Amino acid sequence: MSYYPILTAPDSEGFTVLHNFPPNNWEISSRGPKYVNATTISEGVWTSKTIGFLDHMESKTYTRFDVGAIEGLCLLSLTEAPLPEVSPQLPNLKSQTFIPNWRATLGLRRKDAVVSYQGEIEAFPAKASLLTSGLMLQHGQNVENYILLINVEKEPVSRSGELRLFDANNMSSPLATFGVENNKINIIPFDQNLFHTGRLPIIACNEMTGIPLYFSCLRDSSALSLEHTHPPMSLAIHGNRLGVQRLIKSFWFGKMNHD
Amino acid sequence: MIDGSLGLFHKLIWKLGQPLTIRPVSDGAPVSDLFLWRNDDLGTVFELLCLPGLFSDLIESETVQMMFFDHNGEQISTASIRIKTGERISLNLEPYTHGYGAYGTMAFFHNGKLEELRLLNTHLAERGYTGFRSKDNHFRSYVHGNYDAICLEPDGGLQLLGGTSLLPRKYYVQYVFSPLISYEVALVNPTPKTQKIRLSIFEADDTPVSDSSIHLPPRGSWITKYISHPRSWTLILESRMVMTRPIIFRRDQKMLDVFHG
Repeated sequence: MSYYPILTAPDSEGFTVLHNFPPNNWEISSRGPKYVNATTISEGVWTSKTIGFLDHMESKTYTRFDVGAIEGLCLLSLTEAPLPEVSPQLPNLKSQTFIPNWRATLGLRRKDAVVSYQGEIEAFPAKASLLTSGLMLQHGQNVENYILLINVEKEPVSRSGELRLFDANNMSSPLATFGVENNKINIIPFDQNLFHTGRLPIIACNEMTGIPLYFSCLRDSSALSLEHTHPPMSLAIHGNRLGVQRLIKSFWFGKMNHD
Repeated sequence: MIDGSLGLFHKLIWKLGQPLTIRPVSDGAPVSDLFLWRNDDLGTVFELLCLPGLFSDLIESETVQMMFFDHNGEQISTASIRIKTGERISLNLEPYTHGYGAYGTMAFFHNGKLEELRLLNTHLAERGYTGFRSKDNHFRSYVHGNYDAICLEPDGGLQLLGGTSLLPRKYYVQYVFSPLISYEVALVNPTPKTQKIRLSIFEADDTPVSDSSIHLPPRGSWITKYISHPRSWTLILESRMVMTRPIIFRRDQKMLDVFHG
């Protein structure tokens, strides 16, 4: 199994629905009850506790209220045995299925509106970078936009980095810069006034990577949108997709340094 | 996981010759998802950028080939649009789909003939972002592409890339459908054969609620509406597609959420 974060966003409550059934009937996976774990960083180490059990074919919704006094990133997981209470590194969990991965419903609730996506997260390498585009930035008088950058790494050691927003046609200097941290859901205001319609936002971070979630809402909370972008390798199929990612990143990070 | 001879047997039955996505026959053929468009009470916007321009300063712009299909998978129109490197176009699809029914599919093919891609033996793929909105509101609910579904061959022909299975496969949608909320489940067929897809609904205690089947032609699409069931429910899809992943529209009065199942 992978990990499933409880999301955080401005004026919103995060919820995570865990499902103890696989996404298909043909990739062999364990059946039977599973432990529900909540994992976080406390005093410099990963700590986990059992917060419940799910029978086979059962689903259940969890919020911060269900995990007790956890501040900061909270990762849920389903395992056949409880996770160790204390770990020097994030316990290694991998999805048992691949077409698709074993997912949970990750959502946000704001007043009466609900938005969610099917997702999971596994630890990213510390030596990695983020490059993506802000194609889901929405314009409008009553629209708020945020980037929720979710980073998880094996080591619990705190690191920080700089997330920069560029106009793709002018990579010489960022339009905005934000501090980001590892092992955290970083909430980044994504100001529509920086990018007129027709301009392509580029989002980059040299020091770390993560899943960039785009959360948009109407100020009266009557409408929400939540979706993530993919890494550059998703722009290619078959062959050397990682090579494609390296090419694109090298080109764009080079523009940031030299323009 | 199962090891040994049982694992080999499992691999033969479920994996051998049954990829999720077939490799295009033509080198460098650009690939696209079969994105869903809607022109009923929801409108559709597609977010375009110049993909080849992500690789090199030498590319200032490209012409994107767009193809639109009705819900039977029949081609209804083609168009092209020029986009500059570094530009974003939020393309309103209504002019291209008006009069062709409530929904269908569409594909966007970029200029895939890049030396960089040839050297990496790969294909440029459009799996971008579709925004759905109600007709009286510009706010969009976004969802990303679902499949690497179709490629454009050098002679203008199309090749469907969705993999098919020897045996029927079940896809358990890992989502609990809320009680008293309306949903629409959209399915697309990215394979070259007509697919029979069975949709089975169960309540939490495994009580069956409904069981129906559809026959979806290649490139075809289908939207099934589920209106306000009194208890929470789950959905199982069965077909000979390697993965029958739906797009789900959650319709809570005027509030819309769109996501992959």
